[in-house]
Amino acid sequence: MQVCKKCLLNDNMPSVRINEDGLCNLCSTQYESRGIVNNNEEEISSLIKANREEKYQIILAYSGGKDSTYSLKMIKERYDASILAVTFDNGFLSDTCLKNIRTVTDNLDVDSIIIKYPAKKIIRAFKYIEDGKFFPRQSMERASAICNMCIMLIKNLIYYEAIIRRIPIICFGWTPGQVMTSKPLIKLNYTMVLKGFENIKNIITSRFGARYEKYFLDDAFMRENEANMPYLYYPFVKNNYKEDSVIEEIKEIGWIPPQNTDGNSSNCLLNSYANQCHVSKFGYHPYAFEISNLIREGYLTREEGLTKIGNVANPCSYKMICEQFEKITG
Amino acid sequence: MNIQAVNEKLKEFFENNFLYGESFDDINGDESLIDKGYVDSIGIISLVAFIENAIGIKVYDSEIVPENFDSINSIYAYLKKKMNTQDKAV
Repeated sequence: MQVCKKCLLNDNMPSVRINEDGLCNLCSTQYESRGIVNNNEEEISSLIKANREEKYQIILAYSGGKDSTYSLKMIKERYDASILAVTFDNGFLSDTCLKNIRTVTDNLDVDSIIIKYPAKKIIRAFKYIEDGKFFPRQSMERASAICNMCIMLIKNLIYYEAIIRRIPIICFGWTPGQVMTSKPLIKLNYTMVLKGFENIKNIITSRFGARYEKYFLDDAFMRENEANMPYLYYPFVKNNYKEDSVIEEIKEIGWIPPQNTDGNSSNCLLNSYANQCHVSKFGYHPYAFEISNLIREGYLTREEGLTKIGNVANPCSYKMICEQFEKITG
Repeated sequence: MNIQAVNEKLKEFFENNFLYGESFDDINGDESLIDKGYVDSIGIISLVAFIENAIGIKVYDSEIVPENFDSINSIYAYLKKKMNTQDKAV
């Protein structure tokens, strides 16, 4: 196995080729950025102002991890907006994470709701998709199958909550390594939103039946609300991302790092299991792509990246998850 | 940049990001890139970033629809139309 000498991609990843200089195809063909037009602040302020009569103007997908906590703090301080923090509890959030959600939203004076689906249903779905065969290869290079599934459920939930509550802006605290976009603020047509979920929705509902349909956006609901599609806002995209400073800053609002997660999650115990499944099946770390993006963009050094992906799983959490999955799926 | 140069850049971008060793020329130009598993929703966002940053064409939110981005031929047609209208980017 060859590893790129600039980032951490290795040639076990199907899209990665290492050239004779030891560089991967992404490091050797990086496109020059023309920069991002910085006109979003005005647009966001206008959206907030135009929706002042609504109960909330921003809905944040709040995992309780460090990045979404920092995003929450950032948007609270930056905008004169009423914010709703929505947490999808996949049943595996660490106790510290759940405490962090309460403490941080209290300290920032932000309304918060936590939505949890029944454990048996969610574990069966995670187990069914965990080997990654139902996801595009591109999705599997960027995250584990379980993470992809969880993120998809979160997106469906957040879109639904935003639409029914008439909230104009959805905020995701993705790092610059997770989403490479020229548009930190974007409004997608409902057909594009649905298209992204269609395949997995069909797979899950075909396997487990109509009782899972409510966890995915309904075509008719989206069509009826075509005119009410919310904007997506990625506040990290235009900001310098430095993990150490992010953690220092959120500690000031009461956030505490959980001790029982792996090196790449600051909220979820399931990530240890998801990472281990991914590495065993594919031979590369599911965070290698994100971390390599951060290295390529100058947000992390290669050494810092190596440390992060060295910690694949927390052994105690991994064992606990294996037992729970075994108990429910046999 | 002329349409031929744009197509070459697009081909290189696809082969580096979406095709996993397959040749761009072997892809059926009318097939759905999402249904066939070549691209996911984040891939579409990165494709838009590539079109704006590397090709220099402004992509409006309302244009990010499956009709413009879900097959090689629809992307070609979209880019050709944009270049003809001189809708430059950023």
